Amino acid sequence: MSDAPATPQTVRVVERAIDILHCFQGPQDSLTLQQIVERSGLQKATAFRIATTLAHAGILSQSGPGGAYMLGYLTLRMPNLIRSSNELRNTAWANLKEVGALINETVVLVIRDGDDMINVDKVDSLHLIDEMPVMGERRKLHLGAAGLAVLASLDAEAASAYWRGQDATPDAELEAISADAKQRGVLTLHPSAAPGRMRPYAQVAAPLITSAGRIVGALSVTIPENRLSAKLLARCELHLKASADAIGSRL
Amino acid sequence: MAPGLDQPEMREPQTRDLGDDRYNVEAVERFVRICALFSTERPALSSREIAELIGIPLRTTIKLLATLTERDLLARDGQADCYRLGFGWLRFGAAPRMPIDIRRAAAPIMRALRDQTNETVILAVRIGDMRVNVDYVESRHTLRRVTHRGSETPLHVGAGGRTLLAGLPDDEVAAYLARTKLVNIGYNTPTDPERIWADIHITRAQGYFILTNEISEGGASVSVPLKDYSGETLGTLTVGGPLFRFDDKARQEAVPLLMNAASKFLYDVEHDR
Repeated sequence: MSDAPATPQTVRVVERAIDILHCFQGPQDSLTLQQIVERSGLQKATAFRIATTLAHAGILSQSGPGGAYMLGYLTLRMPNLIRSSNELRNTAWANLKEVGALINETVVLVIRDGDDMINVDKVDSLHLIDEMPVMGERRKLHLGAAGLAVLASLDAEAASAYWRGQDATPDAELEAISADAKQRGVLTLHPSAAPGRMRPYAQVAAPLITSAGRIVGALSVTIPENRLSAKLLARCELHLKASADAIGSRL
Repeated sequence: MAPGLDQPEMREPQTRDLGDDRYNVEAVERFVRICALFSTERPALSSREIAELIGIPLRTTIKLLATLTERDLLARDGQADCYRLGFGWLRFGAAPRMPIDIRRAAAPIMRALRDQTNETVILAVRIGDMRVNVDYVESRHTLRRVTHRGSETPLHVGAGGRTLLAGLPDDEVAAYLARTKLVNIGYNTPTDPERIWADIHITRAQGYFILTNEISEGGASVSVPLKDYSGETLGTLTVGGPLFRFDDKARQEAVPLLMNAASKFLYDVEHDR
């Protein structure tokens, strides 16, 4: 978010506008101009001019002249448009709701985009304490259960090609998890699964594989450790895999 | 909002670090206009189509598209000249997406309206050529009007949409009707511009609009505009329910309740409640 002139000005100012949008990520974010300046690293005059333009165009809104900014109308519209025009999401939606109701855990539809995974939609559980996945987040395949489930489903050559492009390499434990996932068609990360990646929750993910054999995404569930049990884990694995298979057969 | 407290930011800061103001603002506006081109009916566009629709040179368009694609706000279908909205927008979906003054001011009024009518109350705003439902309070009846946040229909459709259209100046209404294909997209949505104009005149004259059997058979709605003191329509409030229960008598009873709600909204917004 520097002010260095790396690209032509028309592009640079749009990048800065997007930087300003990215300042608004908290669920209740209402930011003053000063806070936008602090979060974006832009100069005040630039931030003012861009924020005013964005507010005028409906991407941001302002609580009154000189007031705080919030995300505007258009940011409400875009996610709905993206979801409703995404074929995989539309095919998966009924199954997503069904499996969410069966296991009462938040189920996330994660779509594969090359070497990345993106959280596209979710069905929330009824639990008061829950891991809230960030929608639209883009992660490399090896950074999360959904991507690891995809990675485990790739043939050896494709998986090697992926790892060659990364800074990381799979350790023995991850190799074992992947081998288990390949065999069972569902990947499970226990809270203590990987040293250095300790997490207070377990994750289960099942790959979405089309009838033509393309691996297009995964369904994923995160279970906080406080309600984690072998029985719940087994139920999640069973239903997630069945649901992913049902979706895949229609793709 | 307390006047004075936020006054300093109303003045444009003096420091400048960008060259030509108009040029820069235009680029940001174009970015928004490009993204707003996409709709359910038009999920994908080529760079040439985008350039033509926005009215800017192809070279400028391609530069903007590259920036938006790089930042995940647009996505390209492989190497093809075909752009869609990118997944980067999804991250904004979880945040509050309404100006605090409209939604906050409307929330208690909507709850009161629902309690008075026991029918579903919907808050909608205009986004481009669409009416978008941005909040709702549901009826307590099990059989009720349902909606969801973000649900959208063209402006000329439904009581809320027609009420939003009635809030626009005549030339904007005429331009909308000229560029919009009027086809029946529900049970009996209007296809005749004359009928839409007649409804607009009725809405402006009486300050509310009643509709039955339009988007779906057996549905009924009453809408009022939510205006600020300048007279600008900020949104609409609609009470909707099944026709057998939300009958003529119930609808007539709802009219003064909605009109009062709109007045209270105006007062609350102006007094920053």
